[in-house]
Amino acid sequence: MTFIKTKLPVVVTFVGAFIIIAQYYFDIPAWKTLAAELLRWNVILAAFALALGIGGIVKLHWGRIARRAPTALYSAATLITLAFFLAIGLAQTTRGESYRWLYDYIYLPVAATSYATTFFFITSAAYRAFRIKNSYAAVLMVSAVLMMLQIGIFAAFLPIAPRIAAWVWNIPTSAGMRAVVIGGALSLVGNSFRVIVGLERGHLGGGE
Amino acid sequence: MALIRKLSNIDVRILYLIMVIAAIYPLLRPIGLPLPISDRARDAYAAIEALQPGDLVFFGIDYSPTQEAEMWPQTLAVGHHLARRGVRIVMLNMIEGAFRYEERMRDIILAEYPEYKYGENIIALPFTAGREAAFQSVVADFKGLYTYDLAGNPVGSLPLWNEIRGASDFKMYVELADAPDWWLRPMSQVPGLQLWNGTVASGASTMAPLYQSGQMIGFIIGMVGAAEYEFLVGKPGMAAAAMDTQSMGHVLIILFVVLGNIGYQAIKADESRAKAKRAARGDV
Amino acid sequence: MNQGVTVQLLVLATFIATFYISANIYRKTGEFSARKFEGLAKMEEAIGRATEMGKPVHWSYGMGAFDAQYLAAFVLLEYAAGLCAKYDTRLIVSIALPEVVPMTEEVVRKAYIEQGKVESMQPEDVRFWGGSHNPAMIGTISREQVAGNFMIGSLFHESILSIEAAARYNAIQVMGTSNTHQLPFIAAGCDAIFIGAEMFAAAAQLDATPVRVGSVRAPDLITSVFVVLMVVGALMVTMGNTTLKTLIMR
Repeated sequence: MTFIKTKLPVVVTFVGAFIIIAQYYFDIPAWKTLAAELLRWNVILAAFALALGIGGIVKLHWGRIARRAPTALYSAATLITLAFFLAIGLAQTTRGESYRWLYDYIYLPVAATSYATTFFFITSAAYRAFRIKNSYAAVLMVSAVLMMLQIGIFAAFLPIAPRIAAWVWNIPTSAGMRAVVIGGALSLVGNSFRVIVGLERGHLGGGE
Repeated sequence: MALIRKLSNIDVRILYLIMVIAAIYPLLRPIGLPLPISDRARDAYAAIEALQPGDLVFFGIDYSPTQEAEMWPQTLAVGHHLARRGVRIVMLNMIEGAFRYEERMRDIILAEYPEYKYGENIIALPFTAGREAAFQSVVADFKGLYTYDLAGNPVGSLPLWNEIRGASDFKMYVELADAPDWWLRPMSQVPGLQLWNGTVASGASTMAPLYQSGQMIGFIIGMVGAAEYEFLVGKPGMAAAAMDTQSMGHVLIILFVVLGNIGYQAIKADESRAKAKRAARGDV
Repeated sequence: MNQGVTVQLLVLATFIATFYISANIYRKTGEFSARKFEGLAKMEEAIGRATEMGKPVHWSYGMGAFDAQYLAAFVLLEYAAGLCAKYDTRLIVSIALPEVVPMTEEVVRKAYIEQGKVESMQPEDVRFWGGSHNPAMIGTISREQVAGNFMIGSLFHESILSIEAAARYNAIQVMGTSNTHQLPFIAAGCDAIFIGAEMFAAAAQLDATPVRVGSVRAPDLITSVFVVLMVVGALMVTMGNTTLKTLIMR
């Protein structure tokens, strides 16, 4: 059982990763075919991972209903909505008229609106959270203000504003981001390498 | 000084009200503030303008509904431009929730451009899970990845599908995505494929180095980029209408940052003076 | 070999070799030093303040897909959970991905066991929210009036929501991510941050093992080489010589 739980996943990870990485460097038709097949399997697995999310949601909210938690009513509403959408989707597929109506007139506006609450959070964050506590924060704020000056009302009164904003974006911002992206990418390579060769097993419930 | 200290204690509901009024007013009574077109937007326009009729182009629509406000205007503007160039369009979708935008754009192109016939010069493919792995699959074996199109038709029945051999037949990948570079890493492996990107404002700084290094040939950012592109394409729409609102919002954000910091610095200065006085008196 | 990947393969091979050599050096000498991370000190300060105020601290990984950032986040969570166990401070964890739940429970339980306080761990404080993570997180922060707010992992726009919600209660906030699009927000709104690779280095500092040290040192050394190449390359291209550029594109 230990082999299946800990060693077999490591072997599968290594073999799969080796094939995909090797076909990137070496032009061996058999490996390319195998890698393409593995990538297609990954697409199927990813689709099933979405189903795993549904299972998690059902487990969480069913537990709350069973325990009669204070938010049980909201959990019930969640599960009923989930079941309803699922039933319509399975019966009609995503091309069905009812599904499309629900999607266009309920899901899309709700999703867009929930993100729109960021409007209010940014407002109060600008006032409450964005404090100039040190020189770095001062530089950050000045850069942010310069970037915001490039459109509309400022461009009308300060024609030089868009050019300053473009300079800030093209030179210091891009330089800093380039450094962060390179550093972050190399660290991700390092940590991914650990997972591929089985040196990191946190995702399997073990340590190293 | 008491007034300055009060500046750091304004009830945020007042600020919300001010922002809401500033956002709604320009939509009801447009101010008509100028919108300078950036060089970046012009270069992005020129990149698509350089496409020839019949060129194969991937058109990826990969943003979630939460990003609709910024990305749908971009989709419209870029979609119209591609259709006007007469390119052969293959639409892709790798984000769950974006398939309706793909369908809508397909329907708009078919309705407004009579030269476009579904299956002959435009195809819309269904959602593919896996994010970067899905893009890798497109690169590794594009034809093997899809069996049906977005409408449920077998892809083998589509004449355009049968003309395509693989990803390397394509001239350009136009990607409208709210997430950064997980589409660019695989697609940059296709020799000769030009990469063009429209993204949300918060993703701009991540993509900037990739654009500057020449890995992407065109790049527009957020609602401002959408408004600029709408003007370049000659179809001012939602994004252009929202520019006044965005300007007012920026003014107020700057004002609130300044107000909050004036109050904060005043309080800090008071506390420093009080601490110095206590130290001078020898208080602990 | 495919076109244009020779130098990339060389870099990868160098990376792997550097990784193993660094890990072996650490195994023999036990020496690993990294600069002090303000984030770790602020986390301890936040938990101490929460203890004094009798308020909980909140932890979240963000809503991004499971990737290597979570591996660093687990180590930092174990550190935070260990401090919370030590000071008897309540730790509330909000989770968006279902596959992370068992790992999180394991990490938190391990931290409490190491402090000998497993009975004070509250399993219901490890909360899976799925798609409703953001409003649930804001609700938790507001209802519990947390004194410390930590978000380390793959962050998206929920970072600004969390910053604002916790700022109302003057919580000490520490965040870290490799997602560059969130860095400006967390830099502006938090007391301390981990930028990209700093998360992994902090994790190695907390729990230095040959593997972790190797995976921190190897990127550092490769980055140093890249910096030299960039400076030399930029000078050469400025003078009209593209030899290095052509060589690297092989």
